[in-house]
Amino acid sequence: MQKFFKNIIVFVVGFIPIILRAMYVFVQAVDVKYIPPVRVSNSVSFNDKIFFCHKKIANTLAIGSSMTLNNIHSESIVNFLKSDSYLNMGSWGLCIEDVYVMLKEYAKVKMPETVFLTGSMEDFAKREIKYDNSDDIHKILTTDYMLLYYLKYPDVKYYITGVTYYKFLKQLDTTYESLKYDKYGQVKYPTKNFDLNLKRWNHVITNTILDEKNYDYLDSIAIFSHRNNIRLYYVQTPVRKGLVDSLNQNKLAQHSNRVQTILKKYNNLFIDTNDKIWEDSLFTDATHMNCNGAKIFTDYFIDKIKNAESSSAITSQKK
Amino acid sequence: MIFNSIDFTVFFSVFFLLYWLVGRINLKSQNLLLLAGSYFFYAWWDWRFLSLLVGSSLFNYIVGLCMSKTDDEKIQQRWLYIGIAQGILALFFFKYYNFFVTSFADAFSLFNISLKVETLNIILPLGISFYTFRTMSYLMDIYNGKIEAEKDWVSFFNYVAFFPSLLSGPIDRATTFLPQIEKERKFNYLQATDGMRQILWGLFKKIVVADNCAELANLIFDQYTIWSAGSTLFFGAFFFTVQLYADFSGYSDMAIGFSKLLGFNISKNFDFPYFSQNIVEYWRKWHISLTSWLMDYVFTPLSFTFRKYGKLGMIMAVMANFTIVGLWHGASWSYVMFGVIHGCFFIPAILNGTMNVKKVVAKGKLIPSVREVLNMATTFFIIILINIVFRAETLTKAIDFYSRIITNSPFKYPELRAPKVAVLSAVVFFTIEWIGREQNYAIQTIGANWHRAFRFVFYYALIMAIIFFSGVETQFVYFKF
Repeated sequence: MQKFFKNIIVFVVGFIPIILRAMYVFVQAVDVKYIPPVRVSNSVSFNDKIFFCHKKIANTLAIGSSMTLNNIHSESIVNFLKSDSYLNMGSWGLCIEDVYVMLKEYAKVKMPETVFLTGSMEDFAKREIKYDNSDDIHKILTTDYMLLYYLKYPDVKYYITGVTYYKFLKQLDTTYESLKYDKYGQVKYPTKNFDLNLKRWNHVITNTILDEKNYDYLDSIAIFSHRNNIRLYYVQTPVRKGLVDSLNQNKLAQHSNRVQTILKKYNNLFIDTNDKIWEDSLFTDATHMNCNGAKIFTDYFIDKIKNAESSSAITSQKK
Repeated sequence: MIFNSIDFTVFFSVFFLLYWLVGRINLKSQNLLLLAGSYFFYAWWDWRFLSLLVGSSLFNYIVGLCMSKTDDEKIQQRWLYIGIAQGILALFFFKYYNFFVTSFADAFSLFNISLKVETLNIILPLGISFYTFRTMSYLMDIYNGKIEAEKDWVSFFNYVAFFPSLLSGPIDRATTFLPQIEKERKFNYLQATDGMRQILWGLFKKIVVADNCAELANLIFDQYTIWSAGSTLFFGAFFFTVQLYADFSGYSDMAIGFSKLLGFNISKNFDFPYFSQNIVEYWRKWHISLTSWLMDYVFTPLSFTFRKYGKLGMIMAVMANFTIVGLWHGASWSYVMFGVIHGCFFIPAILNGTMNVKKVVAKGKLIPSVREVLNMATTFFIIILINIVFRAETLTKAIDFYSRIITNSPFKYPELRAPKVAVLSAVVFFTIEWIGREQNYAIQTIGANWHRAFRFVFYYALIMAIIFFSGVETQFVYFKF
């Protein structure tokens, strides 16, 4: 047995210079700050948002897909709340099931008072994100030892080969993949010089194949919010004017009704913003808005919230 | 806890040290520790199913003792049936209940009779097919007089739950395992280093080859309707075929390697099956522990029963055997069809009497003959095509997949360019496998005569490949069986 361990030690010791050399070359070659965040899921955007939210405590959250990431204008929300205790936890490709996971995980850190969920039909499609262990999310959000989580999720290939891509995501804001956040976590697409993709521009959201599970998860989100006294606002995002005629209005109405029914059960507010025409100039594709569009959109639904709340206040006073 | 995880590395490192330390005290304590380790390993996945594993072990242990207490063959047979029935019922309930119930209702619907059936939301306990086959063979071996019933419960429970092979095999036999667990084990340097080498090769196969190929195969299979070239679909089937072998044989190599580190020699599961010259030979080399199990307990008794029908009887036995092979993999008609198609390829060999002819490809030579290359290529091509049934979730999807390969311009250049890592890893993998095909596993003797430094460099290269060229982590394919 001694010989065995001796050989293991010789083998490991012999390997150390190779590893050190490889690390040295790596550190020389790349900017260390662009090493991708802990790989807790297969989505770089999700991982990055968890990293961004690390040790950030807020009373108000915006959680959802890129609809939330891009379309909710931070300053408008902060003005509405009259507080900057706000965090945009939106990330690409989150479906409603992921929103539930994220909300529950954040609630383990701090129970939010208000949650904005901005969704479109696409957020009810089949789940794309795979977590290695979703129970670790709240731990990563608060840890003092992030390095330990790099060791726990040791996908060396991801960390090394992802550097160039991650740098690209963090530096550019003229592509859909941009992860250049403002101080609250929103990615603002510029109104000019954006690299438009024709396929995305003409995408018809009502062609989405819906996954029934997501309605159940919306129900779970509504119950969770109700039980924990969280004010939940669900905002249905609009589609650009040029695509309105291509939509399957029946399917959209059916979807909206289902969402509304679920939310109403627990007295949560459903805000549909498809009741007005949204000019194409406010968008970067079918549903994602540029900075200007996001501001107009956010101000619009805030007005609707104010109206709805004041009318319900009047109703309750009358009662 | 999977072999290629940090959790398992920590678990095994601690366990390995304790195991050999306790081994110095006495064998009984070492075996008890091994059992505790196995149960801890299983409970890590889901502790609730541990009771099923323990219950099944206890039941079969008692049945075995009851069988040994009588000389009356009829009573022995009765106990055997009880034991086998328990195994089949457990498998039926956890694995096949929904399949049979829905198939039954579907069959009635053909006659316009609508049956309202209730399906159950059942979780398949990990490794159930593997440990159930282990307990069934134990009882049949007692009945056939090959072994005595095991009196020491710790030894028997260890046989059922031995953690390196618990989740995905190899399916060891009591005849080979029990004598090893009852004998005092001494740390053997050569066996341990051989185990380490085999684990390294298994990791390379799984993390570099299987996971990289899986990425491409999944991309093509999961959205197979969007690809316009049939060649792209064939491409997906090719990469799935490589993935399947690298994944499962990689797992088996690791299982065998960890067993060696604990002083056990367990059954070999693969013998370079993709270098087979026909499908009959392929099945002699693929998932050997399952096929030899079925050969001993299903095929041989059946062919004996059907012997009066001559070659037709043999064909019946083969077809029944392969239907079970298919069903063993899962409760789906696509798996049944997978088995049946493979069985059909045995028919020509039965008819011309070449079923038992064994040829070794390019024995002692590096370059095979043209005929051998053609035979291997044809066999591999057939395997790729049959694996489509295996990979498609349903039979309907498999048929659609085939028709799209043929009708969607099969000779058009594939739309997807395979990632260099997937192609390169597959090429390196098959080259090393070819070089080492006469050994138990490919790198067993590669570098054996080299200076230690050069040998280490070879191992370092494999480790670097595992670190830098790992694919996206995917679950072991055979975990679901």
